[in-house]
Amino acid sequence: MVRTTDEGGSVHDEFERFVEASGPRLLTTAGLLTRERQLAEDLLQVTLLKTWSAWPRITTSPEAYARRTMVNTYVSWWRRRWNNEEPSEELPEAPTEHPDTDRNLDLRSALARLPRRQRAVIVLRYYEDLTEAAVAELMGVSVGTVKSQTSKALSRLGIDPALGAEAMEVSR
Amino acid sequence: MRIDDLTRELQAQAEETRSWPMPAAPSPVRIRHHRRQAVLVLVSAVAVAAIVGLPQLLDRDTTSGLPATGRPSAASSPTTVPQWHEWTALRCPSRTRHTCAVPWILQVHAGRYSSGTGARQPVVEGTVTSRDLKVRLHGPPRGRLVLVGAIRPGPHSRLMARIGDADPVRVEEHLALLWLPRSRGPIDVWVTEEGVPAHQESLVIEEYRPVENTGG
Repeated sequence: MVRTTDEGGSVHDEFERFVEASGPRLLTTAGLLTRERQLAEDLLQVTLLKTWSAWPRITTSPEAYARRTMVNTYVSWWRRRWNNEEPSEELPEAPTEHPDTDRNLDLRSALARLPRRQRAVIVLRYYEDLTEAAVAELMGVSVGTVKSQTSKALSRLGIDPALGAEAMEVSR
Repeated sequence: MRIDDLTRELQAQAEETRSWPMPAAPSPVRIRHHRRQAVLVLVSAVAVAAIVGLPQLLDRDTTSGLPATGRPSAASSPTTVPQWHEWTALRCPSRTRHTCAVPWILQVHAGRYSSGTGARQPVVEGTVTSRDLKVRLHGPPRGRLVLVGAIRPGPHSRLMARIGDADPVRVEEHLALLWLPRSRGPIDVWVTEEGVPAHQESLVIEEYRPVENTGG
């Protein structure tokens, strides 16, 4: 798809329309990646700034460009800022009689402990519903890398101690 | 645990984010306004320099070839240092973090810059002490800045930075923002610490690229 640009200074309006239309979806993706509102806002802000900076050069879907920028920013910034990272917070062990709720808490906790790249792959594959090839293109890696990262992530989710005995039974 | 459970969990997390309000988006109009401000600041600075400096220039003792301050002139130095009051952190890694010493986005005069390549090195890690850090920066250097120094340094820490083949410069206030010189190839940036290291100290090199764009 080729994005058309209006003449006469309406590029600003076009960008603002893009933010209005795509911003909530991008914030959702940022929230899934970072799991924290403040970090998600930071990630979205930087993504939009970079997107605006490249706006005249974007010839395909701006949202696809922004999503690619967001994922790569997330993976690279968080990797570089390892010194700033804090340990994943353990979710409170709320007493409950519902095994499904326990399982969801375990899964959420395990997801929170995934390395950044693996989490990004999981979000793109199983929330954004992208194909392996699309994820590879978006992240700038090979399909083989996406496959291996997905496999490792699913494996971690399956054998994570936080998943408890039930998961161990399933994985056997 | 099945893929369906994973999908449902991701959808549940996504649903939670939908209640979050959208943060203020970067406004192209505002960015453009900054650019206009930059022009005004530049014109004002030139006017002030002309008014203040012209009489001194006319009265200057031309028998001495040395600059009055003893500092290297801008032409001989590859970098100039924006003073602390000349730049502002606009976006930090997180407002919940305890420091904004190394922001994601900063503003120097009227220009806005976003962090790019960078690295951090704890000075003390167990029994190992690492007192220098080097990062190789690639890409066109036009308009790029680099923040060098250390965060949480000790009171007796002395920091030096070097960019490419230029002479080392003393890092005042533990962090300094330097302009990258024009160079066709990659540029190496070093930061070195002397003196007494602190346990929480980390050496920092962070590159910043301009993000301003009028969009047409």
